[in-house]
Amino acid sequence: MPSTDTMAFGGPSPAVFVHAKRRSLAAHLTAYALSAPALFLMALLLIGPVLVVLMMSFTDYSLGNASFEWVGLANYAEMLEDDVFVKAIGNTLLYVGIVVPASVFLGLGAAMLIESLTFGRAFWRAVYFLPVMATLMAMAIVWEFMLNARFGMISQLLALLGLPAKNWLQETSTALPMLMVIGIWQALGFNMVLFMAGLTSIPRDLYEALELDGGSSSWSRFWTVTWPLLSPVTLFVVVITAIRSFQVFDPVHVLTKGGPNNASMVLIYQLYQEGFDFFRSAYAAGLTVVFLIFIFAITWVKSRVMEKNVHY
Amino acid sequence: MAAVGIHAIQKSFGSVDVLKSIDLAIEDGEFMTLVGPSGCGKSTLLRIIAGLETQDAGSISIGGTAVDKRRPSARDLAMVFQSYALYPHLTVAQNIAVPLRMRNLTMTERLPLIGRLSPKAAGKRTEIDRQVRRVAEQLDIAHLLDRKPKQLSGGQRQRVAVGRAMVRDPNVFLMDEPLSNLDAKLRVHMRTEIADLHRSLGTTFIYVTHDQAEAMTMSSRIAVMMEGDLIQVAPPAQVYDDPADIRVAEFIGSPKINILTGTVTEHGAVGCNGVEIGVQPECPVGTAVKLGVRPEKLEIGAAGPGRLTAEIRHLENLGPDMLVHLRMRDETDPIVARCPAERLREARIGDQVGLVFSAGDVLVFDGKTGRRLPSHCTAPVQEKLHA
Repeated sequence: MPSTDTMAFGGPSPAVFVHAKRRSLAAHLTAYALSAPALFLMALLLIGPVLVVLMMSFTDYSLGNASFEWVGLANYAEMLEDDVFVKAIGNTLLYVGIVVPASVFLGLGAAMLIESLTFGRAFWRAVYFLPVMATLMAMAIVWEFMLNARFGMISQLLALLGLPAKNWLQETSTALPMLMVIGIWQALGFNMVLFMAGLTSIPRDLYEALELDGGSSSWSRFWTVTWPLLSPVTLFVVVITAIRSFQVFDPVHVLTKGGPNNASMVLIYQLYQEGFDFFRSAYAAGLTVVFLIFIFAITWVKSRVMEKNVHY
Repeated sequence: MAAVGIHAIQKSFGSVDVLKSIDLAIEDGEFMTLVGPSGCGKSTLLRIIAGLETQDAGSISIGGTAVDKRRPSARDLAMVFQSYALYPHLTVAQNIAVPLRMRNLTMTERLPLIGRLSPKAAGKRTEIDRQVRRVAEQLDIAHLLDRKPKQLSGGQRQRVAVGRAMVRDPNVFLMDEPLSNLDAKLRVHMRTEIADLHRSLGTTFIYVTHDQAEAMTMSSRIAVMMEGDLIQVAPPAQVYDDPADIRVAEFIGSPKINILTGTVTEHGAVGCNGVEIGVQPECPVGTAVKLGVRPEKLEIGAAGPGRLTAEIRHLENLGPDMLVHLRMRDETDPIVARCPAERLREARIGDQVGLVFSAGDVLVFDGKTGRRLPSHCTAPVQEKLHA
């Protein structure tokens, strides 16, 4: 107590005061010094490039040009007029809107089915997890063969049923839905594994308590215990899947190149085309900013929901 | 309220026989405690009664009806789990309401929005709320109704678990070590509360514990289990004073009963460490026996011929009483005597003292099987032997 009194009222011992202040300054400096490497790397590798991209989106820079002009919001204005961009945004949102719920619920379903098995769990886990481990590029080629109109497995099967063969990836009406199927197929296994971890962490006691409390149907087990206790996992899975779906690129690049007639154009693929096919770096930078806004929005919603609802 | 019958229940997990044909009749309104060391099968037996585990053979009846084919929810039981098993996402009020919601509301009435539409359901909901409040007030947790389990202390969680069990007036209460997660002080307090609860509800209680003190203090009867067998079923006093087996004698009572080894002599008495003790067990001469003497029946006197002697190794002062830890020559187990503290003013560690006890307080067990042997005193009971 005496020493704080001295400090608070500027008492007779300035030496103590100065010493304490110097020490706290030293402590602060130490803290900054220790976090400096991490801060420096974050600025260099994350924040810096984002700022550069943001600045570039206000110019007319093209890759290879020696100079550039500031053009203000011209790139963004152009986007609103750009049919490809409007199509890409629409397709991307549709893709996310279908792939996220489908892969989340199918993943949950697969996890619960596999967990309820008495034997063969490891086999089914491996089957569903295989697409996650395989390179999507390679898997896209497998899909291309399966969907081939002449000798593809799927077309052959349909032919057996007397249905007409279709060039699934080359038709306007089916190209995007096919990419969604591949997206779901790929995300499902990852989501399943996360849900499985969540399921095993639910205490068995709760199911037993519910059973004695009168909830013996699988319906009430799911709604009273499984679903609420999985909610932290579900939120995480939804966010991860949403971010990954926004980034869909590989199958588009390998299978459709955004076509036919931009029917399967998505945001990242347009970004790639503008930046690396047409060398319109500034416009591509503008598209990147739009993409980052979506990602930030998802992350923000996640942290808000996390704070409010899902804590136990 | 109902009686519970356990008939020839057997259960094995793999090659391990967890329950070896258990028979037990629990009377209506009784507080029956299943007690035994961990791994003796008591929890398994409780879970079989609840229907959470299926027996390999035998039958369970509740209120005279066999319930083996019924699911746990149809047996009309309530259970308090060791972990309390509270739903973490529900408030205290919602937790207590779950058994009523599950039984009194239909599936559509339980739905979040649609369930609100039916006027009949609204009436049921008000009734549920009333019941929850009644139970909460009875258990003194009414001020916690809006909290989540995470925000409660261990003792409060325990009360919520009890509240959830009693809200529905079940036939039988099952409790699986409900106090083992509480600190020592609270545990002693909750013992009284649970005993009070049993008195006020009058329902049959089946209580599982490994703590002999809980068994002794709360039960109408105690069922002592060891290695899958039921060894003795009796009221607490009888289990303590008249144990049927050396394992029961050793398990019940703290500090543990003192065990001395001896042999039946030609005179029919028991020779122990060269001293003849005046009990006459009903068995042939030369039989190896074990003698049990409770610490509080043992007194410390002067060492002398014809008296068991031991050395004081440690003194524990409990306030009114003193625990005297002794070591006897040729006996591996230490001996403990519980004596009024004022009689031991002179005692010092390292002293050689004589053990004084009445032959009537000696329990004789078979040296091999551990079964209790009937015995009678050769000296009159009133007279302190060796005194």
